[in-house]
Amino acid sequence: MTNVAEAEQGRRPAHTALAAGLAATTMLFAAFSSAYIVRRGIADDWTGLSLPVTLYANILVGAAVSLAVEAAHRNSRGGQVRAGRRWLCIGALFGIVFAAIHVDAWRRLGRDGVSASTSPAAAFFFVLDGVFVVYVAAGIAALISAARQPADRAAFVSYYWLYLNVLWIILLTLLHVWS
Amino acid sequence: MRRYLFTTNHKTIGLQYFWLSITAALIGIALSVLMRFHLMSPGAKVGLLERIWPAGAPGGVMTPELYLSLMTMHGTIMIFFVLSVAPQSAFGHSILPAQIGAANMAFPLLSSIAFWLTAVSFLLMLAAFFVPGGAPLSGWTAYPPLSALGRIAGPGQGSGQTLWIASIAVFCLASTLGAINFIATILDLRAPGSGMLQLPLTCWNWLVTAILSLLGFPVLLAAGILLLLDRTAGTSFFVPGGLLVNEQLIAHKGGSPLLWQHLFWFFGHPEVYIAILPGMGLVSEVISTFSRKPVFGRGMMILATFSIGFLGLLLWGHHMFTSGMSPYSSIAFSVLTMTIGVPSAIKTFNWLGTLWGGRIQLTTAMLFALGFVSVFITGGLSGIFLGQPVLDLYLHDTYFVVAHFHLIMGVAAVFGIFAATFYWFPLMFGRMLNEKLGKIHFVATFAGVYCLFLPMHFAGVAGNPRRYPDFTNFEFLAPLFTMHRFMTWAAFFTASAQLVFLINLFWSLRRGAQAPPNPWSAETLEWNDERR
Amino acid sequence: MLDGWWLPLAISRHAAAHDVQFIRTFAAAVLIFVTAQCALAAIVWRYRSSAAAPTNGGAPKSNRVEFIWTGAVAVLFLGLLAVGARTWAGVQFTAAPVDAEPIEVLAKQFAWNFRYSGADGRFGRTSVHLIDDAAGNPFGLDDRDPYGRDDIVRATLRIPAGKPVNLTLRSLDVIHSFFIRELRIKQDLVPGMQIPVHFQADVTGTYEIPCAELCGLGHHQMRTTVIVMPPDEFAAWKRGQVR
Repeated sequence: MTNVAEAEQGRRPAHTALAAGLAATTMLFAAFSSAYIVRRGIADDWTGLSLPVTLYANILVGAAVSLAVEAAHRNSRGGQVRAGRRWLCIGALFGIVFAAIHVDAWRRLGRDGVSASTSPAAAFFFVLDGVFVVYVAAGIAALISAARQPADRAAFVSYYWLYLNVLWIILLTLLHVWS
Repeated sequence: MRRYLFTTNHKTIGLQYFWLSITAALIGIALSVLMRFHLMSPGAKVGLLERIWPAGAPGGVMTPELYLSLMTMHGTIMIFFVLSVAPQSAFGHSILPAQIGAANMAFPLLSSIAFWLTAVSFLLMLAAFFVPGGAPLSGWTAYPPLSALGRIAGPGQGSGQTLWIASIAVFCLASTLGAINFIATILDLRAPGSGMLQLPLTCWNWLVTAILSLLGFPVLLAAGILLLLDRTAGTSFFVPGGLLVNEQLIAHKGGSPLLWQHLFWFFGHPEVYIAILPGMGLVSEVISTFSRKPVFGRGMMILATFSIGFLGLLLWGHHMFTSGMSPYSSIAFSVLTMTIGVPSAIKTFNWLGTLWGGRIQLTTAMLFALGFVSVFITGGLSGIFLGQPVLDLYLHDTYFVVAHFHLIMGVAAVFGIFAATFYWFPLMFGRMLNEKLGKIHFVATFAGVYCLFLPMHFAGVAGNPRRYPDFTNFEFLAPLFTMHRFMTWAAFFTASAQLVFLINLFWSLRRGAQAPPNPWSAETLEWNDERR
Repeated sequence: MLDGWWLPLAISRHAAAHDVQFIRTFAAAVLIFVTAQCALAAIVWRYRSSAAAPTNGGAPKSNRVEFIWTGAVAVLFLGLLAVGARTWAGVQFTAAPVDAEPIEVLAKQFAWNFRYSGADGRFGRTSVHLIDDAAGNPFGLDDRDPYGRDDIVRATLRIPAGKPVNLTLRSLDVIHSFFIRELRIKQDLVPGMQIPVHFQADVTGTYEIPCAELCGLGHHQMRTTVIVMPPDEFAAWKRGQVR
């Protein structure tokens, strides 16, 4: 087998594993979301939660990460490994901003006296967002690790961050509709 | 030492899982023996009990709360650390790579991480015995509000319940990681020439089991996180308002206990297929090997496996017919439940079809495989009662249910583990288990489990509720005391019979006959593995 | 049948219908059990071999046989369900008759309490803050509500024979389950929910009621009874109760 084919063979389990891992993640968030939908439907004590605006702007930050990673992927595919590495680092920086905005949002809510026990809407926000940020942290780690071997890992990370972006838009919509 | 502990060798990891599940099984059996003893003699004074559990057994007499906590831990330890570990992780890691012609699992480091997370989970679970208040008493199903209210709901519901939730959460993570590894291995690491359709049925069953784990455990994790928050962060996902517990008004409001049940059983039902499918795959291969015939209707077997997996994700509501959920949902769940009997029957017929016209060698592995078929038939038949809502309204939460799931999980799945142990012992340990001891063990266990679980159905038909520490408060239970005494003695006998297995196991590890390369003349790839 | 080891006396039409379905299912199960276990034993006996023999080649399969026995199982299982469906629908899908006697059931760790509506046919207001077991007010009846003055609160369930009864099931703390074996009905009592169950008992007598959902360390002690009385005796009993 040629080197390319061998590399392809080596990458396939990683992609299968990523797909499986994202399927499991989808189930996790589906479980939380269905709990959210049920809870919203059964009680008449729903008080909305106004989310800090920065969380909406975060969609753009997340998109920036994905664009950076996509650029990294194109570059390393075309043989420009150093450029690829640079784009991955830029992506990681955007990723850190992405996570920081979430943490800042929690701090803002905390300052307004909002915690998980304040209302069901708040409880679901903190659960969904809390678990989401764990995945963001993993995504940042993945970006840093990918910077070491852009040729192999950039594609992998680009799928992951695409998933995170789509997931964030869905979660934000869910939280917004019932805020 | 470090090399063994943190190895990435799949065979060693398989053995680590194997020994973890054996340890768990011994603890689980001990708990059940204590339970059955208490049911027979509720007022008996046992000095040993007082020494181990001074608060739970003052004066040596087991309190109801101790009984319920032993019951909770028995169910939890057996279902998670035996049935969700041995069939898939122990034997899978040991045998799967060789069966598909791969050198190792797809992600060897992940195998090790998943094992150590499982071990941590096991330690957290055992720790629940030792905290003040003891282990939780809400059953392995942990229904809120009982499991969500904390110490005010009773002994064991304080830190014991919290540790239980933490342990389960870690187990969910470990199992999900393991499932990812199995799926990538089976789909991507097959040797050239090993098409999917050529794979042994064990691999197909490990694949579907891994998919069920992948989809089910994250949901249990989500439920566990929400329950933990209800207990510690003042949220009310599962606890409604207006509760008065122990004369105290509870601050929660707006949650739904039924929400937990849906989330839990969405995982809980696939879980029972996770426990049984690997055994089914093994039974197919063992029966084929020892009938000297290919599996009858292999294609249908694969189809049946997928059907069971698919349907198994859709029928969780049959655990909730009396829960207060919409009767319309009950219709859907019961139709799906009766439907899943069909692929199960296909498997049974095909096992008989494999035996037909064969040349049957009654090795111990084969005996346990045949025992699996027998017990699966019996246990499956009680399922057709429970799957009908009209009958379930009577039988739910009675000993009929206990008999049903013990026959399928406690016996059939365990017979699958025994069959796998006898069958693959040569590959896992390089030696043979003693056949004579094996046959004694089989006959005693087979007789014992039928004596124990067949009468139990009739206790259920009489309406004997489950999860009762003693039966002396109800007149209608008095005629059943004799039956319960008989079942307790059958339990003692069956538990003792496992000593024969343990003797065989530990003796053969050291002094068993050296195993030839393919002692069973089997046709699957793991027996041709040269680098043993 | 074996006294105490089988279904208890059936005291309603639903219970009788349940038993018919139970026997149908039992007959099917016994038939399959005997056939399958005997087939397994017979096949193993017939084809047992003393010598290890080389494997037969070729994969045997017979699609026709597969389809026949698969189809038979499907028809049997789904058929059983269909036949029993009407009985179950009678419990779950029909509303309680208008003249059904309304009774409230309140479960808590570890006791049952029942409330009857009294002569005015209405239930009085209750509040969880007013609950006081020691003072004999397990429902937390509000004295200021006139409708509640004639409400009857008891620890046992009394119902008239031959007349429909509509129970509203509530729980104060954790999930319990109300199980009347002779009626063949069981219903969980879920905190936060008010769940209706209606039935008609036709045979007088006293029957035990166990709790059928694990509710804590006193789960096995949560016992009460249902006393099915001739309708005139029931009416007389209600009239004679003064709170």
